[in-house]
Amino acid sequence: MLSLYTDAKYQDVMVEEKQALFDQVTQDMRYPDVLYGCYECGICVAACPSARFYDFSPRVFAQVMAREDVHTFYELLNDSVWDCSQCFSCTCCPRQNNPGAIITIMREVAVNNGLASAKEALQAYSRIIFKVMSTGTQVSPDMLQPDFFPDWGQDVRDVAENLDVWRRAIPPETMHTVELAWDVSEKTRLELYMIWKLTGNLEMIENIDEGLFMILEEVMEELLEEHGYDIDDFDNILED
Amino acid sequence: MGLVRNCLLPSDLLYDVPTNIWVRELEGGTVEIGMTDIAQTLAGSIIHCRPKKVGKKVKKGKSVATVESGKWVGPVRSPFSGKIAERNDAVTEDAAILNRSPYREGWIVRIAPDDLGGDRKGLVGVEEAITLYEDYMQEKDLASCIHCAGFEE
Amino acid sequence: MTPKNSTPVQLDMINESAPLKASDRTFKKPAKPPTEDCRELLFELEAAGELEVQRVPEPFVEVDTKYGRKKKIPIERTWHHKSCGQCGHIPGYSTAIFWLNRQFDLDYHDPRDQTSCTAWNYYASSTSNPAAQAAVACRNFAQAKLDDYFPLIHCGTSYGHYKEVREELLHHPELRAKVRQILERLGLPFVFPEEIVHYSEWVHVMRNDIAKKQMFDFTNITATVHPACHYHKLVVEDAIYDRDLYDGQRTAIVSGLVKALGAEVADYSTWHDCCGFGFRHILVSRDFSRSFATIRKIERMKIEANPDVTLTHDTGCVTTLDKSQFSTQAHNRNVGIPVMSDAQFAALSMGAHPYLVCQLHWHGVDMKPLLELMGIDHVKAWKEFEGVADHLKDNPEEFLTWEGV
Repeated sequence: MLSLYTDAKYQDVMVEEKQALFDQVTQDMRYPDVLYGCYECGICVAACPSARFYDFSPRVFAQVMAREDVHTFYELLNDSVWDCSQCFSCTCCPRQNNPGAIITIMREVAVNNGLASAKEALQAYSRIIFKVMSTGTQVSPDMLQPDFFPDWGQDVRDVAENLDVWRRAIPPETMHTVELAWDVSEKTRLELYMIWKLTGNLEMIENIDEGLFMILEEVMEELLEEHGYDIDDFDNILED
Repeated sequence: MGLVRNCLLPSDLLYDVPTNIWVRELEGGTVEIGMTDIAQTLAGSIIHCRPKKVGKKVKKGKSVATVESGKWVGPVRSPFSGKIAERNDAVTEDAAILNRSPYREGWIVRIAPDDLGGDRKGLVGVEEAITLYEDYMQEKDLASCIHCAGFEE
Repeated sequence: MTPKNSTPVQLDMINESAPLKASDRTFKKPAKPPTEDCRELLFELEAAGELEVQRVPEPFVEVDTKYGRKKKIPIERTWHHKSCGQCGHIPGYSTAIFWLNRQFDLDYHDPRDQTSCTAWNYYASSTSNPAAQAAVACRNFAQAKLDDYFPLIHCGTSYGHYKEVREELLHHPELRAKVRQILERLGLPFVFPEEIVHYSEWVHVMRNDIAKKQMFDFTNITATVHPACHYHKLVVEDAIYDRDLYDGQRTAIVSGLVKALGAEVADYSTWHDCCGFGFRHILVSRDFSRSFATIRKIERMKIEANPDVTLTHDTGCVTTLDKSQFSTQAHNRNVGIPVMSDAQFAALSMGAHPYLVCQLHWHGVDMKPLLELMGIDHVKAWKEFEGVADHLKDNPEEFLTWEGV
């Protein structure tokens, strides 16, 4: 069964595969709360920042899901799902649909299934994932490097050159660190690692970046071991 | 000295091109490993390098160190199974050594291999490395290596 | 492009019963809110023994939210749920929030036992799932309860995300069951706060007290306000609306503070637009973020309002609006508006040191003209900062403390 559209992409991918991914989205716990039916008013598109710069439309996502067009769904899943800004301006929808939330679910499906397009979209982003999962803060002062943010200006260069002193010149004690945003206690990091393991989050990373998974697992295993825990005792409870 | 697109590859070393690792065999049977010129270019300015502790067992293909730059974090994969005999504390103090001197000062760990002869078979000499890197850099769209101020072989 | 001082053209109404123009349509608070009350649902779950609700401690102030419900805003005993982007890249933002609390001798807690909400990563990459996100949230809330302080959320993203988590927990018993299981494994209680409070709501209720301690005259300062999407769009009800500000048509946050400090709030046509942060985009697809921020926000503000500063109340918004202006300046775009948070603005008005407290040297757009307008001697202040920095350089074991500011 092929797409309705003559210019459709990914016609070489089996429709069963597309249907399976589509079903993962519609069977998500949140799906009934995010799509009630779209009458194509386009108010969401008017409010959407991504629609101005990308070939992206929240209206199309709502329409495609409502019409159960698995072929176009597969295109969106690979080609434009990562353009969304996740600002939720589209919740101005008069039907109270939430295209942004449809996209959140679709992205999780893309990541869980290790789609090449997901890996590519997240490739440059690996350090952020490592930082937030292993330390408990998303960004750190030492990320302000001119070769990563050359377009942010002279202040990045100044911060990078003076990082140690300028960080010590901030009053709150918890912020006297350059490798984390604030000093996170070891007990808290331990709890965080347990959460990642119990919710299958670490294994999710393996789907998109095997090298990143490896180093994350090692960091977690080491801390858990130091505190007398075995990382293998924390199975994914979501699979129960 | 081997050269490919302005990237340096010392002639006396062995290479694992897919993982971007160089290997130097030392007297006494240990092997010293580090990141190639191509690896340090791809990573950008390196901020942290955290090698594993001395005494840790390692498996071939698994991580012996984590390297972090402004935009990237990833493992340094060991071409050998064995035990970590020594680690270079200098790179934990100043990770920029890996950019400045990837083949000399920037060695990361020394490993006592379980099967030197067997695991060595997966490595290539400089001539073959040049050919493989030419393809690798073409695929990655990497025009040439970038050398920071004070770069030395 | 509307010139600043033009008046709209008046058209004669040909037909008396013609539909209202868009500008005449107003949001009228409904007699009964169309949404359910999250707090009531939380209390029901508590009564059923499912979780514990952490009550807002006294003293608190009640404010109106969009549909007329009251929301409790605690004044002290707050557990400061910090923001990654603030603490990491805009340290003056978090410092200003703490500084303000200290000026009023309020009892607050700055925890080490806190993780990021992890929502920046979640909205950027979706490398997580509702159970993990809810567990991360509830772990933080459990810790706050154990520390006996009430969560005050520093970041707009965290705030929006925690509202989303609340909705999911309230409506999905299977999710609650999983979260309960995880918390039990961690040895933590299942607690949820009665209200999810953003620090800018605290600033809003404190605005008149802040104004009483004001040291500098802000009457010649014009500010534009940018409200965070995750504050007032993601779960719309839980935002402060005030009849005295925008006639209740827009959220009152930040604007209330500006007015209380005697500065002018200037309007601009893209007030409702996102800043363009994008979560993932700001880090790895910045061409989008800076294009959007420049074209739809900064340039509009410049042309229509020409403000001395633009104020916002979220980490991502400060980052995007501030950092987008450097490279676009190289393209001769009409940029150059200093960007800071409401907290830093309030702190400066009360005499906070622009560099030791507000850490303005971490910002991109030049702050000096604004500081001059405020009457703050930035030359002297920078010399003081350099003195502190030199001392710290010579003493690698030392840090700046609250006693030093």
